[in-house]
Amino acid sequence: MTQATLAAPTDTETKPDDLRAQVSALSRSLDEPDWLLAFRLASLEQALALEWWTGQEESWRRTPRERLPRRATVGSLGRATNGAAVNVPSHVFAPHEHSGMVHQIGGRVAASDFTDQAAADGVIIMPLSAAAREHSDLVQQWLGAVGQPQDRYEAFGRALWIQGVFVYAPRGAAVSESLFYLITQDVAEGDHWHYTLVVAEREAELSLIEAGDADNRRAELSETPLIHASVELIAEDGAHLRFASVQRWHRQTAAISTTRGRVGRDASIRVTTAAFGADLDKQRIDMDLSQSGGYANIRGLFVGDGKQHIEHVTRQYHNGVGAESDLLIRGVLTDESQAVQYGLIRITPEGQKTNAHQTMRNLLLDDGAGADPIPMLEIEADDVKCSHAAAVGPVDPDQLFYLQARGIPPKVAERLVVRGFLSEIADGVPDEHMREVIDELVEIQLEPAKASV
Amino acid sequence: MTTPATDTPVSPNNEYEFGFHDDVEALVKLPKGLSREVVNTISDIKNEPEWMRKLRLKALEHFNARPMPEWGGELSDIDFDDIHYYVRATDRDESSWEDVPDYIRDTYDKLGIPEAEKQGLLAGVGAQYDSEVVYHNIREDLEEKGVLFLGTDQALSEYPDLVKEYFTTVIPPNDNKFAALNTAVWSGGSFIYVPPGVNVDIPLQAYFRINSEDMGQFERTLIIADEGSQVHYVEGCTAPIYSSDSLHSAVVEIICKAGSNVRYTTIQNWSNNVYNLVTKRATAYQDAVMTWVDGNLGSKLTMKYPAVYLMEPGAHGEVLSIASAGQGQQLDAGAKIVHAAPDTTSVITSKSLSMDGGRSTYRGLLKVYEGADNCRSNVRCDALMLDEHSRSDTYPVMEIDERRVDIGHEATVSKVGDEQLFYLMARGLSEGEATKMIVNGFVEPIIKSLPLEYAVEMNRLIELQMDGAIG
Repeated sequence: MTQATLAAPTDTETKPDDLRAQVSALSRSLDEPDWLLAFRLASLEQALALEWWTGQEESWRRTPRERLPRRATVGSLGRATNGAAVNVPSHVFAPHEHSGMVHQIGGRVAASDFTDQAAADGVIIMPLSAAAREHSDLVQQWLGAVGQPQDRYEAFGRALWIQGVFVYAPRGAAVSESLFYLITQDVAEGDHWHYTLVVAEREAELSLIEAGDADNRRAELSETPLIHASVELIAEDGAHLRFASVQRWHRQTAAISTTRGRVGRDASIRVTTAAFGADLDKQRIDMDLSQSGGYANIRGLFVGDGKQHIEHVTRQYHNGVGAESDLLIRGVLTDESQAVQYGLIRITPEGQKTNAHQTMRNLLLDDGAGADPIPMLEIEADDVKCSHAAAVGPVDPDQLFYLQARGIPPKVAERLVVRGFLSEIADGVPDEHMREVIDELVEIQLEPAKASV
Repeated sequence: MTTPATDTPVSPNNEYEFGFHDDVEALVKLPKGLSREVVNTISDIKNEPEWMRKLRLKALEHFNARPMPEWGGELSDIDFDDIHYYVRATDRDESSWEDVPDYIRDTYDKLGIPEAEKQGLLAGVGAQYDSEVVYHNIREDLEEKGVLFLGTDQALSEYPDLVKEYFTTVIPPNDNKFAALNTAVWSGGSFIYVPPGVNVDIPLQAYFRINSEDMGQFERTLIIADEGSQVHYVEGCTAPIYSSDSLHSAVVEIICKAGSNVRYTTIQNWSNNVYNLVTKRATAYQDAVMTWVDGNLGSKLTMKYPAVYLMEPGAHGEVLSIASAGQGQQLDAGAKIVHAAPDTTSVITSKSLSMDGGRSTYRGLLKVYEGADNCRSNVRCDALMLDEHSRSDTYPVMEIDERRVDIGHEATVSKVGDEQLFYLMARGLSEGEATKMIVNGFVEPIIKSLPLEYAVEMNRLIELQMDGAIG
């Protein structure tokens, strides 16, 4: 697949005072409660006190400096219609069945609904801005509750967002079908900062699928759009939360996401991500297991082509007794695409009886492709089970031989092996239709036929 | 100055077994601190060729220009102005053991070196006492075959062209801050040349010790294995205990020419106040085999990552690393393998123990350049935690730019298994004995690759450390 030449992104910096004024104006125009304006401004000050990355930091050393802009701008308010429904192109990930859905383009809401049953159970899914007005106390209680922002993108993400969703399941509620948050990238609008807040109260169960698409994938953009996604996942004691994130942003996009999970006692969070679009996608996933008996599961899938750079920076933080976590990343790299997995399992002295594992596997299908898996362990408790594994290589020649010996042409055989390789991750997405779409996107990414083995 | 040396091993619980030290009047001891003048003086004392002096001065500039590394261990306590960069205890290399001054011989006797040589186990012994090599011997038949084994200083004066041809070709003076420091002030170390086709069938050995307080030791070792040759070099380190910290910053360069086979074995047992910051690297050409066996037991902080650059097809690199970190220790060890040619293979096996508040770290790099197809590498790191106060870290980096490769990495961290303990204790062993037996089994794959007398010593040292940790 050929790729549009990219204009070098700029790192232009808005003056602090202008940012403060713009954030205040944004909050007023969205009719936000006072606490939310205060939250935005405090986050903005935190961001301004932090520095942009330089590339010297260990978790940034492999990120191409020129392809991820270091800038923060407040999105256009003029196009945000604040809740009014608008017509948008169909979304590749539009669901068949669902308990509730929010679909946004820019700051506009294209659709928002949920079933009577969900409503009766007290489940909430609505644009974050509306939720801040209608469920002010709840949103105030949980927004940013995962902890202080850890870098400048995350802090700006809390200050600058226009799009966002609030998903909430009250104590003991079990949402039968998945909830959906669809985002359509308005490519004409430039940078997007969006914010996802998911809360499962004690013993609740819910699953959210967040999916990103672009309104015009063929547009030739003069500047790299930056998309930052803040995702905060909170599973209170005994709750079970599933989150899947799939993106097919415009191919010139620089995407960065910050996903933070807080796992309560005997609770679980499962995160599955699949990356297809963007020029660069840097996903940071941080799971905080500070309560006993918690469980976190991270699954990552990607198929890179062209010159795509796909990066996962993960942390499994075990600060509680008897918690368990598991990470599995499987990626396929074609053309000159590059992958980085920088993953840390950290076990503090409090993390006795931890069971933590990580596995990173990269299939390289073409000569120019490359992968840097870096699985790291920092362990300060002795009664733990901890392991990691990483592998890089071509499609297993034995498997290819086996299939070809049964009359399957080499290219078809390679495709079958690749799909089998990825299926373990895709199977973790809690929606059948979504799994089918992921399958299709894998096929699309692998076309046109890549150089054979 | 200090108490007389004692011959009886002290209690393993709290004291360092080889912590005796001699009252040596250092014959030449430069004042503390590092400057162009110090570097020039070292060069003057050694009466070196001009190119070496220039190289040292250039390296000093690199050292001064480079910031301290911010990763790994805590280095900010090193005071470069408070170190003697050159100390010499004797005026010349002695040709036979009997000629070595008594007080130096006494120290070495405690380490058992002459016995080992007398038993004919070792082909040659080069022992470094502070900065200069005081004793060197090599079996006569090897000398006749043209094998050179001598101090690097002596090699520079006797074979200047040979030294110049290879010196800094594997590790350039500006490679890193501590390699630059070594290049500026190096003294001593071993020089080995093995001619084409010659097989040195028993290990060459050198023992290094730091004896003067606030003494940096900056030995420089250069090994050239010519085509089709074979050699095994063994280096052991022990240092007496001092109240203030010492710095050891060595550079080891090895060139493995086509078809050669080199094994370099280190047993590092510096006392727990030594900073051990070492750069070791080998280049391996067509079908050559390079093996580092790296045992780290001592030191306050070790940062050492033996490297193999696989330059031509068929080359094989291997690192066997074992680290055992006890109280107050941080052992940041690992390996670096660079596949720069097709059809190259490598294996890294690391075993680490953490006990009694110690911290052991595996830090590694596996790099495969595009075009280095059909290379295979397997990295295996296992860590064992003996108590809840200790820490184990694993930082393996893989950079793979070629698809026709088979690269695998696996690591585990665990404690001594309750089932294993129960099984052994049910057969009448105490918990301490059972734990030792399990640890022995854990490190066995590395230990068995050591020469016999080292395997014995290594097992004993780990047991001593465990006595302190698990009582």
